[in-house]
Amino acid sequence: MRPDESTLPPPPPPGGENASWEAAIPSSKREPMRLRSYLGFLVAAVILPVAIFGVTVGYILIEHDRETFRRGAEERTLAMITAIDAQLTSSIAILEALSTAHALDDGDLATFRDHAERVLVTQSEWININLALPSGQQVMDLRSPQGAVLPDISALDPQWRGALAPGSAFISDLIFRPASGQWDFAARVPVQRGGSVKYVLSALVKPQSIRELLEQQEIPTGWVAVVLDRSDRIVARTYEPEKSVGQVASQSLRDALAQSRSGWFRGTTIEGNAVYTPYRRSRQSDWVFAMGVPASVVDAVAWRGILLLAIGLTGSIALAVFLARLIGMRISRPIAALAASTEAIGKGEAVQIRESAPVAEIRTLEAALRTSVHAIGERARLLDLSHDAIFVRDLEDRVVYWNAGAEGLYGWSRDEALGQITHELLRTEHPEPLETILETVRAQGHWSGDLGHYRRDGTRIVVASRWALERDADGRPVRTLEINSDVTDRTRAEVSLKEADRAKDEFLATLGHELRNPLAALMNAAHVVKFAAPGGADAIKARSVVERQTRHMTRLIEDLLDLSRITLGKVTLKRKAFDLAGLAADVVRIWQPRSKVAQVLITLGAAHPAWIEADRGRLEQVLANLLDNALKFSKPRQRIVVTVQRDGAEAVLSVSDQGVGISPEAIGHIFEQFVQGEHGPERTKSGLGIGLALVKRLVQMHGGRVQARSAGVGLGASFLVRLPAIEPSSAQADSARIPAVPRPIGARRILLVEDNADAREMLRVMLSLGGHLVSEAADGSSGVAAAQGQHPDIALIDLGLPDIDGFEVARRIRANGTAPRIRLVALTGYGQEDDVRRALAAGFDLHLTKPVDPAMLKEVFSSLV
Amino acid sequence: MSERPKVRILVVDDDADVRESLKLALKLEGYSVATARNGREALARGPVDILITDIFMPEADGFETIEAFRKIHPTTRVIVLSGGAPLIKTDYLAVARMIGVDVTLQKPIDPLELSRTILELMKDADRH
Repeated sequence: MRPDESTLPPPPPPGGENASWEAAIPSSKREPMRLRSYLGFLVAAVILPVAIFGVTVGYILIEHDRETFRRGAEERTLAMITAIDAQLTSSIAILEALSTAHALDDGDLATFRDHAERVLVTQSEWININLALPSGQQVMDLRSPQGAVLPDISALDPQWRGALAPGSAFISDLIFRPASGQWDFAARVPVQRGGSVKYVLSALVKPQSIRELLEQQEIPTGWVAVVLDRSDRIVARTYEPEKSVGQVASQSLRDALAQSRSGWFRGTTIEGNAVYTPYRRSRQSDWVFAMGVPASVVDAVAWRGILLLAIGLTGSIALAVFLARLIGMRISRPIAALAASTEAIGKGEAVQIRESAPVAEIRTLEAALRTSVHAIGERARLLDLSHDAIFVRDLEDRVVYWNAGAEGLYGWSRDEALGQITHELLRTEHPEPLETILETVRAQGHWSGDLGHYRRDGTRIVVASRWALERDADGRPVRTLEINSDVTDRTRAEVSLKEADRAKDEFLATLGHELRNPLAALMNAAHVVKFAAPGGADAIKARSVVERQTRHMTRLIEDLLDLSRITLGKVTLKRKAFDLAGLAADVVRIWQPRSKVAQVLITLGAAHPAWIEADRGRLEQVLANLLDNALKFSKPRQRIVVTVQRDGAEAVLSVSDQGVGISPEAIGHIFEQFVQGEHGPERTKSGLGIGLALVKRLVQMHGGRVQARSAGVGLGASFLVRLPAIEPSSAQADSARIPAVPRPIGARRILLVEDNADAREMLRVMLSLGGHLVSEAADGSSGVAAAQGQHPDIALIDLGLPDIDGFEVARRIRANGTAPRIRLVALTGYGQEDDVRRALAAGFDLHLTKPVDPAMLKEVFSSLV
Repeated sequence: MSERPKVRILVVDDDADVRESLKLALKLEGYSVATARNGREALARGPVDILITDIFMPEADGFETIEAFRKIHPTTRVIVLSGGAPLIKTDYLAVARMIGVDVTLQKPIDPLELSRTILELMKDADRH
């Protein structure tokens, strides 16, 4: 980790600086619309004006068609009324020509009648010709016999006087002839003579003539053409012609005629059919021509246009919607895919982005996202490069990100950790209540401190932890980022530094104590030597105190100085080749008397030749220190065994004891200076704690190493010194051949149960001299207790004891069973047959009679074990 | 030396040489001296005028020994011979006064000076 990184804020979440744009864009309050909807609106926006335009144009076209149609119909109407007028005018012209006849100049009506009859024959549509006086009195009628009394014309045609004015020819309305039951109409012209109207000449014309005119026009089927007189009575009609003549025109036509002389309207026929009607009233005759065009015909024109327009619009809208959907899908699909990818990236999943969108902008977006994914991947790899554990927790404390550092530190893989609750997974030990930490995080956004965590394999580690709260754009907490670096070693180092400091202080205190005690003894002894009788027992005792204590102090001080000199590098080794086994035998022999004082048995176990090139004096010091240490922590009647053997290229010296042992926590520090094991049973033996440190330094100087082993507290300990072995030359081997080590094979732990102090002391001395470890009891019950507590190999029991007798002692020892292997030897002053039998019955293995011969005792022991 | 009162002294120390040498020295000064290796042994001994004890011992702590001993023999005066572990000196001296230790001396002590202290303690005791 670079030093400046420790002051950095927590690294940005995946997405990095781009994360800020989220905050820059205000979120829309409205629900967002789908792209398809937008495209739909776009299509609508384009189609609507087009549709309006289309409808307008369509309407205009329809109107144009209708107008064209109308105009055509009106033109036809005009033509028809002109044709009708021409027909009527031709009747008038014939009458006018007849009116100039000379016969009328002088009133020769008979002659005129001949003329008229000749004319009537030529005009097939004419029914009659008559002549009336201006008063209305008819004077001639071709249909009546000459000289018959004729009716007044006014009775037939009230409008006839229209023809009285000079030069005013006149067409009458339809006139009904009750006699024939037929309708006709009259053409009338004034007959002028000498500037005044002398007669009115009339021709009665069949409406048939007008009908024929209509029928000559090719009126389409279903259409109705009609001619009306001045009073809007039907003169002729193409539909039901016979029935229609004389009838009044339809109401709608009459209404239209009342409005205007010509025009176009939508109305109904007499029969009630819907029709469009162009009509025109003649200026000449005041007659009317009208046509009834079925509305369906006219409207069909419009309807066709509207239908076409509707089909066109519907079709284009459908096409547009279809295209909008199609295009929308092509756009939205890759966008949706990108959205899914982005979400997956957010979740930290592996994402493959293909640049395949058909839309250039989206492809650009894909490319950009791909670049981002790459960058995010790079960052993730960077995060993974960190040895620190970096992980992200959601609000429920579940892991959502877990880097390689976390995998390495905790032993949980990413897949295993994701979704787990961190403080359960790591069994987090918080330095303060979790609630307090969370409050700090909420208030300040971050927290840092040391946490205790457990790795997957169960080992506890200490981490320096930094937490940072991540908030969303609205400031709500979303996640917590946690970065942990392993400070277990540092913490351990701090602890062991403190421990070393404490050990040093303790050492100084102990040093004071250890030096004061010998000084106290020396000062007392000096006093005794000064004042006691020279050569007396007291003086001798005092002298031995002085000797021991000066030796002890010397040793202490030498050890201290040695350690100091070795530390300063002032010790040089005087190396020569020798057999480590020989050295071990010598040292054990020297130490055996000392160990007897402590009632601890030091023996040499396996002693195989193991040659080394070393400073013999220093290695004696090493073994002495190890023995001293073993003695310190051994209880009486325990054993210490020294062995030497070859182990590959190493010569191995071991010192094993049955003492207090070493706890697993202490075993790593046991060779450190000033560190002591648990205090031994005797305070005086606790020492300075430099012995083993000195051993380690000396062995290291020889290129070797030291090891301490213990099954635990109370289970003894072994110390191993491993030194580089050499192959001895034969000469060396011979010269270095040392006397065979007198292995104390016969050495036993022996319990003496004897009430007589002198007898007991004598036996004790004798047995001790034989190399045995002897413990004593002065009465039966303490003898039983000693046998059960100390597990001696052999118990010598006097049968005559003050409290309970020897038989009972033997019975109790056997009955208790805590010492099954113990050999019991009865001692008696009498040696009677009965005693021997009773003793064997009580559980004794052997019966001896006092006084006991040492040689015999030795023989008995070897036979017993 | 016979004019001196036969003061009974019990020396308690776990270090044999310290214990025995002090016994010899005090005997030369005319005292009746008994010894004990630890608190347990000390309590088993009879009544004495002066108890001289080390403060750190196995089996029973020196303080406990003193308290228990005084309970049985309330008139016994107590001299503590301290091995002098400097780190805890201040603490234990206060404790020692509290439990009725009369004098605290530091090893090594000249037996003559120790004898003077014993005599002063006995004089005080006589006055009472």
